[in-house]
Amino acid sequence: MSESSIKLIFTVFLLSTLINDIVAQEGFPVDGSWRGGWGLAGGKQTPVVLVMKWDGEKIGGLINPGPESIEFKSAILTPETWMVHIEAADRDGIPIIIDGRLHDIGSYNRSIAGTWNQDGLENTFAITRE
Amino acid sequence: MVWKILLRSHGNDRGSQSVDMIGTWPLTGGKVRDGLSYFLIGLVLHACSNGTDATSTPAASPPEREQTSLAAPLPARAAPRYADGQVILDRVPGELGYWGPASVTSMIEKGIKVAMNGQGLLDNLDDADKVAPFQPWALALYRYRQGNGLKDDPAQACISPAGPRHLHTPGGFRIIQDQNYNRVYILFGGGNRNWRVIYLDGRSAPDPEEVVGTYYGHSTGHWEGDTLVVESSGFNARFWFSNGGLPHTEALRLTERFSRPDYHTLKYEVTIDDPFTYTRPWTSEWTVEWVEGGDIQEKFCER
Repeated sequence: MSESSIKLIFTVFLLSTLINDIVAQEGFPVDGSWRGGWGLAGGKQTPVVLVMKWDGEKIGGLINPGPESIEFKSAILTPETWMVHIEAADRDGIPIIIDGRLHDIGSYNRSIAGTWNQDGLENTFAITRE
Repeated sequence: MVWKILLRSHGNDRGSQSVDMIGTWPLTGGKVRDGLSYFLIGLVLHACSNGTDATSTPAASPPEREQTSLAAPLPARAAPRYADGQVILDRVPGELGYWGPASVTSMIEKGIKVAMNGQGLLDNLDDADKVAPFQPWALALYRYRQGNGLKDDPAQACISPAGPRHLHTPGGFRIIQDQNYNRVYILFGGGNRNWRVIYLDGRSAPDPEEVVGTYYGHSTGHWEGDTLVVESSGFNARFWFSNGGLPHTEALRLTERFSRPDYHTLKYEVTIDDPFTYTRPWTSEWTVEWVEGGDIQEKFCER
C-alpha cells in the first residue's frame, strides 16, 4: 500500500470520527463539522471544511482536518449578533481572518456566511453545517 | 356559581404538544344543586375532551355529594413500602396506576416565578434571563428559540423528550424497582415508549472521554433514606432537555432526587450541572400526580 493511500485512509478515518462525534448538536450553535468554500466574489471557490468545538470557555477548531490541517489561533462567537470571528495562519504563516454570521440557527444544516481574509485579499466565504 | 374547567389532552404525543384548556363556566339557578345535573355536565365535558381526561375544579365549593362525583379530593394515604421498609415508587401488587400530570410543564430555577404556557413559552420574553443562570450564548439561543415560538423543537421530528423533560410531558411514566438486579427502570408512556435504567449496584459512571453520548445518558443511583438519588451523565446534545428550549451540551450532568411524600405524590428535584451552558449548577423541582386505576398507554410519535 502506497504512502498516499495510507494518508488518504487516515484522513477519511479522522474526518469520519470527528463528524460522528459532533453531528446533530442542539447545544452550542457552532459546534460541528462545516463544509463550503471561499474565494473572490463570483470567482472560483476553494473548498473548505471547518470543525469547531466549544469547551465551555473557548471555541477550538481546525481548517481542513487531516495531515495538513490548520488549527485555529482563536475563535469567538458574539451571541448578541451571532457573528463568528476566527483567526488562524496558513502553513506559510500568512494570517487568515474569517468573519461570518450564523444563519438559520434552529436548523440542523445552519450556515455561516461572511468574509475570508488571506494574503491581503478579502474573499467571500460560506459554509453549511453537516 | 362559576366553575373553572381544566381539560387535559394526552392524545397527541409530539413532545410539548399537550393541551391544557382552562375556561370559566357560569352555572346558575337551582339546577346546579341537583346531583344529576353535575353528573350530566361531567359527561358532556368528558366528551368534549375527546375521551382523554377531564377534571373539574369548582371555584366555589359545591355540596359535598356533588364534589364526590366530579372532583373528590384525594384522601391522605401514606406511601407504600416493601417489607424491608423501602418506599415503593410504583404501584403495589393488585393495583393499577402510574405517574401522570406534573405540576409544571417546563423547567425553571427553583424559587423563580415566571409566567409561561404549557409548552414552556414565556409570556414575556424579557423574563428569559430569570429562568436559569445561562452563559451568554445559551441565553441568546434560548431567546431565539422562544422568539420563534419553539418551532425548532426536535420533538417535532419525533426526537424523544429525554433528560428531565420526560418527567413533565404527557403520557405518564412508571418507576419499577427491581430488587433482584438492584436496578430501577423508568418506563415512559410518552415519547416513543422509551425506558431508562438506573443502576443501584454500586457501579461507577463511565469515563466521559470514552462514552458515546445517548439521549438518556448513564444513570447510577442510591437511596438516602426514602429518597432515590440518581447521578446521570453521558448525554448527547441532540434533544431539548426541557420544554421551552433550554439548551444543554454533552457536558450535562444531572443529580435527580425522587421521593414519595404520600401515596399520590412524587416529588422530583433535579440539579443541572452543565458548565458549558450555565454559569453555575442550578436546581428545579416539581411534583407528579399518581393516576389511580390506569396504566401508561402505547404511544408512538408519527410525522
